[in-house]
Amino acid sequence: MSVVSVQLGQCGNQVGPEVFSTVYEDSSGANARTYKQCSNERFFRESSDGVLVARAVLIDMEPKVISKATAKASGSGKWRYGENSHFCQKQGSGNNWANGYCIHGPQHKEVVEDLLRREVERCDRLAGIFAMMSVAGGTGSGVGTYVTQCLRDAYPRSFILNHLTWPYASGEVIVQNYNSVLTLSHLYTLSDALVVHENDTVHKICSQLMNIKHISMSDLNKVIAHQLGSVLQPAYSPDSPVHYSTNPMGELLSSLVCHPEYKLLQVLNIPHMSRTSLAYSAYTWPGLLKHLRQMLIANARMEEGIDWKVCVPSNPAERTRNTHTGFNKSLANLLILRGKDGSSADVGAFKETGLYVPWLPVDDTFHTWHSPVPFSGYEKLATLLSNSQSLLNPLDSIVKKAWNMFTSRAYIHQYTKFGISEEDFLESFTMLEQIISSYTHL
Amino acid sequence: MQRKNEEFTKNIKAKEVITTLCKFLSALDVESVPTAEVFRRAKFNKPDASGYGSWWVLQPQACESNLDIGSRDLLLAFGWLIASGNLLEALLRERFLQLDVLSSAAVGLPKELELDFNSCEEKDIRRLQWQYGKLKLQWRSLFTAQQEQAKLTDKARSLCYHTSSSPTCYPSTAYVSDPAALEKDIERIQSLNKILEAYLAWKNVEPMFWCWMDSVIDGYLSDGYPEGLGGVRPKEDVTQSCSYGDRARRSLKRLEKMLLKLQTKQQDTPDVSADTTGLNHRQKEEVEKKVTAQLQSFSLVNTPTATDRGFTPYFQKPQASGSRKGDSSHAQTPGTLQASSVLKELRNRKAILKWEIELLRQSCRDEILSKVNTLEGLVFISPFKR
Repeated sequence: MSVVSVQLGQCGNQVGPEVFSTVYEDSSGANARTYKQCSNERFFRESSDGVLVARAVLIDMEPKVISKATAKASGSGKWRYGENSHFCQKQGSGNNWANGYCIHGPQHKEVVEDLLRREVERCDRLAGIFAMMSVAGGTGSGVGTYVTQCLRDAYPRSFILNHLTWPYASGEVIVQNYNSVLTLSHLYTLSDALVVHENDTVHKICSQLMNIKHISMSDLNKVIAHQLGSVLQPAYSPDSPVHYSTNPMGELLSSLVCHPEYKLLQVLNIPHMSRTSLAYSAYTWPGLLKHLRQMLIANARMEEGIDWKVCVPSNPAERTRNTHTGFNKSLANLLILRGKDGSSADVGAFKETGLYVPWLPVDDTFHTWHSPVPFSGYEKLATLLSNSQSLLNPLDSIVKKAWNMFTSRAYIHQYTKFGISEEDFLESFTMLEQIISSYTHL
Repeated sequence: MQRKNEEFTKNIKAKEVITTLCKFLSALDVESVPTAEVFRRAKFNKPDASGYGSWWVLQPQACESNLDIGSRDLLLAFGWLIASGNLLEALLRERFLQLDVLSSAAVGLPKELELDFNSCEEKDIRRLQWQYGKLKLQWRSLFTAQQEQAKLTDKARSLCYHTSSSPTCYPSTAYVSDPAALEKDIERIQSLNKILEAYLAWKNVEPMFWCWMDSVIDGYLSDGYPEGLGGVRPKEDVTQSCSYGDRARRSLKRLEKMLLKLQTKQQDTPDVSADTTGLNHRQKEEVEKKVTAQLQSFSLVNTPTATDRGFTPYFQKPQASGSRKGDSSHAQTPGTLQASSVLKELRNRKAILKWEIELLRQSCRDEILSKVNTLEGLVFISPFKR
């Protein structure tokens, strides 16, 4: 049972290696044979000379990032990328989604599909495809969307999960909101679920929880990889309580994103801390879970600065009008507990019906996975994968900014010249407004 | 010659198409499927004893006399049957469920869910959507598991072949213990394949079949249908038959009867407009006068007079002119007319027409006035009277 990762664009090719490093370090450091075996089979294959090779395809339009990633992996002496598993060109997409989606993607369709097919065929069982990309860039978002489309066409029954890195709200690129709108609207119909990491949140985690002074790109990616690894590493699930699940993607999706209108997932992780303080910290499950639950309902991205005043409205009518109370309503949550006694921790507080929409059966709203193996040096770690209203605000602000630019026709010609018409834009806006409305009226 | 050739190839095509359909029907285990030739004969309404009585007419006693059912009627009925419902698909599905050993659908027909969609609220629909999505995801999980099983079976099998040449090492344990079951399953799969192939072949030619059926209908319309329009056939004939054309004829007859009845009824009932009980004597008189005047003018204008028939003028001899002042046309030899009397009559008619035109003008004016008065803020200035 294996997951094929697809690293798309600069962002995807920076997050990807960190994810592989994280899961490798985690499973090789753990003193648990089956866990290690399961993890290795999930993310790596063995080359003829006995080296672990990442089940990954690397795609970018410029060679710089890919060669850095492959060199670093090979240099680690622990694992490496496949020799013929990457594709790159000389020229980037210039932060233009249309250039990536309409030009670069179709141009290299065959080569890329061939790479993907070869990697997929190396799995006895394809648990799913995990595509990592930026929502706002050019190659990652544009080519990434195109590649996702190819994957969907080629593997209509496979699980496809996209990981999206959300840009800083303050903005790195002027057209990032356009790119985001186009990416999100297209992926929403192609992908089974979108796992989102906001750069702003990750940055805060680095500065406030990890106490990093000069935050580098690598620091951000490490946090993202840590959170993703804690989701993707082997665990026991309700469907597979005695063996590590052989269908992690399928189980993840069927416990969180069964409804086609709600596909946005957010990761909440507790605790987060620097390596040095790890050894001196002791946590209890009740304490961790209490914090995590409050993070969920108060829509806090990290354990610091949680608004403890927010509570679950006792009156069902208030739950539907949640705007002023600050209460974050969920559709479904998946809690993953890693570490000693995780299986016996009391998770009842997450099952409270008031947290969820009234129309979903109680059994469908909340699931728990657990693994006795401590993750990445954390004695206890709780990860919550949540399909809730928490991404409404960032989504709404992206759409608003993009719309303001669109109404003044700013930079539109940059897209129309590659074949994305104003109607395409309008369609994307409509789609996202629908998603916003669906989550608002949850 | 060329036309003949075209027709020939067309017929060949039609035959092939129908044969495909027959093959498909046979594959579906339909009993005594007729040959394409029977179809062709049916198109021309040829009576044919060779066996399609049993197939075409499932229950001959349902009709009063099956002799009156033309083979073409049956062919049309058959066409209607396969066109109106999903008959062929339903038969196919039934056979599929009987034969399929591979897919999970083979487990049996799912029980039909009884859902009352009228009482469904939005949240119910959302829940259903969620459950449906979940089912789809779980189905995909199963599919992946099945794929893995196939892959691993294949691996194990090739490994077996490598390690031992013994052919007894066969992947599926169920089949190892019972090779007969395997044979049976293969047979079933093969016959299912045949059916699916026949269905595919039929689907490919189906549009051509309907073109051919169109020509059957054309033939039917050109000789069967118009008979009914005449409605001159003896009554017994009409009631005995039960084909479509006769039915049409019968309903036409019924319609005629109905019309006749309505007409007599109308004559019997006192004229509503003549019901003047609500009016007093003076009003009645007025109305009567008006009506007579109208009728008179109408008859005056519309009765053809002698002048309306064409005449060739000729000069009358002077001796006859003495009686010119005398009197009218009956004094004349039939077929001739005095110019003076013609003039007189024409003058009369001119006056009547003038009077009529004045009436019409007046009524138009009145109408315009009444219409314009309803429009607010519009001043109507009537034109100068002529």
